[in-house]
Amino acid sequence: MSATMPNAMSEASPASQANLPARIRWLCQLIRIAALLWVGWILVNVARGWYAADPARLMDNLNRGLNAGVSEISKGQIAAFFTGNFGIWLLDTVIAYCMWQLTGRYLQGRIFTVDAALWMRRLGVTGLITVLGMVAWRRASLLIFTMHGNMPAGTVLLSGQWVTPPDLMRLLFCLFLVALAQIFKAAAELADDHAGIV
Amino acid sequence: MSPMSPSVAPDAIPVSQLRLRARISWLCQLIRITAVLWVGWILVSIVWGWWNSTDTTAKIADNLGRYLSADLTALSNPQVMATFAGALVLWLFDAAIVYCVWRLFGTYLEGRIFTVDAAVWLRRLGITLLAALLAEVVWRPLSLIILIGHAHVPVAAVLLSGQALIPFDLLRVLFCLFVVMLGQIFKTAAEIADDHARIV
Repeated sequence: MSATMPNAMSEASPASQANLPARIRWLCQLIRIAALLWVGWILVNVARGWYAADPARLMDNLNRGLNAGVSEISKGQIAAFFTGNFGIWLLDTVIAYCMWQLTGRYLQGRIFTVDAALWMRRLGVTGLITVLGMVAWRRASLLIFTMHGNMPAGTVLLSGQWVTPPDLMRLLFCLFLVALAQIFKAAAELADDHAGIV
Repeated sequence: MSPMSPSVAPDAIPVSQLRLRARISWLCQLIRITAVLWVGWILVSIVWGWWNSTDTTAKIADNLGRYLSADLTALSNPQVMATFAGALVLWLFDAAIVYCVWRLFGTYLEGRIFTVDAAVWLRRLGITLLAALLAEVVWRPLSLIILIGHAHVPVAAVLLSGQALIPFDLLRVLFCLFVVMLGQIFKTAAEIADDHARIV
């Protein structure tokens, strides 16, 4: 372990490290509250969307977007669509759970530890899975809505943009977290090695 | 000068950080590429819309008119151009985000990971993200006002009919807070390392 790694510094400068949890406590609490609000908001949006779903308007939008002549959309199709959205929401709750666990470690003062780094990596990986899930689900939902029409699946799948700039932004967030988790994990492992040698 | 300070000579970088750099260099490059693609894509979308402004104006008039149940057929090119100009200003914030990402991961690629300058770039990134988000939230209703200004549509009712904020905004706030927090952690780590280097 290099002498420059943070955990090894604890003996040299206990005050700095001891103060760190206190300095980030408000941020951790704010992140936890924001994560709960975010996941709750999405659930409310999914429930409200389902409750207020208008098959005629959906059909109109779909026909205009795909330049197709899809006939009436059934309640079953709408239910399948919102069930899928609920599935994506479950992935969002896993993200919020990872955030909660990670900030929980930080609140306990366990910042440069392997388990905190692992929670950060889980957060990044879950985010990546969610982005992929969302991209795939957008296509699958188009197939669900057009399955009773005469549109070939290939045409449906190739219409419009698969990926949008916000998807890329989310991907960037997730890669960022995975990279920082790798840094934290390496730092924590090196610190552990050092502690073992000392 | 301590080995952890920003202006450190490359040969003074600790071996542990060089080893760590080797492990994360592919991720750093991937993040830099993704960031450039993201900001490039947004710029291309804006330029594309601007270039085909006649088509874009008709599409916006049709789609927005349907959404608001209003007649927006008299929507003019200058109105649409004004929204594109605003989008271009917002894009400058995105470009600043990408610049911060580029610099931060550039510092990591040089092996200077637990350094004050890397921590400062993290904090700058968090603050730029927050500024970009605030600008976007303010711009959204403004652009709507520009687009429906000519029509006999009650602006207040239109603004209240949709969501001023969306869940993705909150996710972005979360990420900003996270980045600011990590900036604080890395800064402390660098300070501790600096203190230690002085003692040693």
